[in-house]
Amino acid sequence: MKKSLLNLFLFASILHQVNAQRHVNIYAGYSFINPQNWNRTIEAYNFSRPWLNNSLPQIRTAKTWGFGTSGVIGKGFFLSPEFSFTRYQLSAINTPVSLAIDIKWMRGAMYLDMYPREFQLDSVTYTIRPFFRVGGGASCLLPRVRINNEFVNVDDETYKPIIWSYQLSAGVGCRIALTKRIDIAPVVLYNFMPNVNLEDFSYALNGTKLPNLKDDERLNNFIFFMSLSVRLKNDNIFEN
Amino acid sequence: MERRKLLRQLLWGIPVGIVLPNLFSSCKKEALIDETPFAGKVIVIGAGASGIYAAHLLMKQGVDVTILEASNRIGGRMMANTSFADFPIEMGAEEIHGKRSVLYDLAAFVAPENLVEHTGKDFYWMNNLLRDEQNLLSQSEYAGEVETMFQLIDSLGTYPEENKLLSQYLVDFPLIPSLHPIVNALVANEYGSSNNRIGMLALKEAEAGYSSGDESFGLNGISYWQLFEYAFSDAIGKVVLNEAVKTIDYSGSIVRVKSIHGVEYVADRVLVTIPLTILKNNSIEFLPALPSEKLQAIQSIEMGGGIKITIKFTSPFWDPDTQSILGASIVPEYWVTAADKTSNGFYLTAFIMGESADNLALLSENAAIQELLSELSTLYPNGNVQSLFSGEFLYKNWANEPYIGGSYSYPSINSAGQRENLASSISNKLFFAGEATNYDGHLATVHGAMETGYRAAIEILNA
Repeated sequence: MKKSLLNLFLFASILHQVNAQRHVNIYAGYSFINPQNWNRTIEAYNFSRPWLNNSLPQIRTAKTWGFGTSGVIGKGFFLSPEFSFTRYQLSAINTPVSLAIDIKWMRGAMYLDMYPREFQLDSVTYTIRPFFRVGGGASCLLPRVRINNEFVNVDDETYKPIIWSYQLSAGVGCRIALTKRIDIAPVVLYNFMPNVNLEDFSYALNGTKLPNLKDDERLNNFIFFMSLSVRLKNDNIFEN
Repeated sequence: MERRKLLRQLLWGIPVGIVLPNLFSSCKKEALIDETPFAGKVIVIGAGASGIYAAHLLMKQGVDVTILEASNRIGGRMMANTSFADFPIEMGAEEIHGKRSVLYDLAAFVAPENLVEHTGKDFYWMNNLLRDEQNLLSQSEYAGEVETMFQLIDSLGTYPEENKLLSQYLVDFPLIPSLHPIVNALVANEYGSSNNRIGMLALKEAEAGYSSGDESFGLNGISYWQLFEYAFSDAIGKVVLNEAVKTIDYSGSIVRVKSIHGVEYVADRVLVTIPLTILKNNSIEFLPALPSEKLQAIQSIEMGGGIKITIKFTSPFWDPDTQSILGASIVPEYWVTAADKTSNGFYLTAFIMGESADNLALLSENAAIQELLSELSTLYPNGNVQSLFSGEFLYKNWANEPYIGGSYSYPSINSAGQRENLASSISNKLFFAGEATNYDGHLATVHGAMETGYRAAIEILNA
């Protein structure tokens, strides 16, 4: 399922690259997540090791970066394949023990951006178009736990899982034309991953599993980002 | 036209309506410990690893704790002799198993310079020859069988759903009989028992859950117990010694614990961390009686005898790289006590569990030592073992230890799935911890006992 979604995404991307009118987008922002079981695992680590002066913080926010393209597929409808990268880094330094969690999160997604004419917010200076975004894609999470710069082992194997998940996304944004070829767009995007396998994260961090921890996590993720778009062709996004 | 526009605007609002509830639900915190955790009075019964650690965690959360210890000392199955050698000799728990555990983390934080990894070679006794693993695997006659044996040991966590004794499994497999004592030493003795007492399904559970790693660590210059003394001094200060419990009455809203001296203690919750043998012999009366599932678990899980003997020699007769000597008939495992430690002395520790311990316990201490020296003479025919024996030894039979009565619990034939029942709390008033209640694969270890301590502490705080 996850593999076929990824393939579908890649196929659609290629098609899009070949046929669509191109706008190149880059963006940066913040990603907010509250993975309940991962954070409970971190709580368990702090609770069970009260001799440590510095607690391990919970997984909450991280910077995120991305790039993609978008092209017109119909009046007010755009297709935007994007790739994004988020990195959650947490650490607790308690000399001589330094623990670090590093979760790299890569996502490929295909979005349908819809610009309803009902919501035109043009001012005298700027052309402003709110839009709605829906889509989906594949996520790849790479959680790593290191103690004193050494990857931890679980059951005598280095803990380096690759966790795949599919995701569904919805969001809202507002595209503002700065010049004839350059737009910016603040966007809030919600990603839903219904079933992410935690792959022994509790064992990696705590050495055991707590009874109230599940193997699977339903992840809700919000990303707020500011996108900068350059129109490679002078196809006015606002007139389509 | 305006109405149509309004309707379309409302329609666009639907996705926002779907997203917002998720936004709020994802912000909600499902914490490990309730926002208003329990803050009453807890009595912990037993001052071993799990009891002391659980008490410390509870005290950190503001809980009023009293620890009742039946014997005249703290530490349970952790006990060190500091006068026999120029380093502490562990008479009970000795190794730190694996790197990924709360105990390793404690040692790495408290005493990193004392934490040493065992790096020596293991030697195996097979067909009247003592050989290291490399040598054993390079012997063309047995190489295939030895490799099969190691693969078999590695795959115990994926054993099929058929319950039988480990000894029977080895016969059915089949594994050549001369390798059975090595399996006994590497698996059964390590779990505190013998091939003919270990049940395959329970062993599978334990092996499948064991995740802390196969590395083995020791403490150089300090004892196990000193880690606990350093980190959990607050809980140790709450221990009442020589206060064996006679009854635990949990029929009312508060729990009444009465000692054999007639002293009554009351608490909102009680954590029972006593060894399995003490639960088995009904030394403590529970009022009302424990539920049938709990009683069945107590009866199904077994705990065997265990003897540790440390013998002093005037000079070594073993290979200088030796860590352990495995597979002999009287003592399944000897190890070099001072391996990776700073010492001027030469010591071997005999680690004898299960049936071997029961047999050796029939002899007097001196007779047992003679048996061991005789066996060592067989293992090292050119070693002059008898003449190098200093005449000094330390002998500890854990089956005779009051209020403990054995080594540790092992995966017995009918114990698969029972440890969770043993661990389960009763009426949010009675909680259970201790190595035997570890159903996550780390039974029979100190870090396993500690894990049950924090599992129980969380249960108590959230109940």
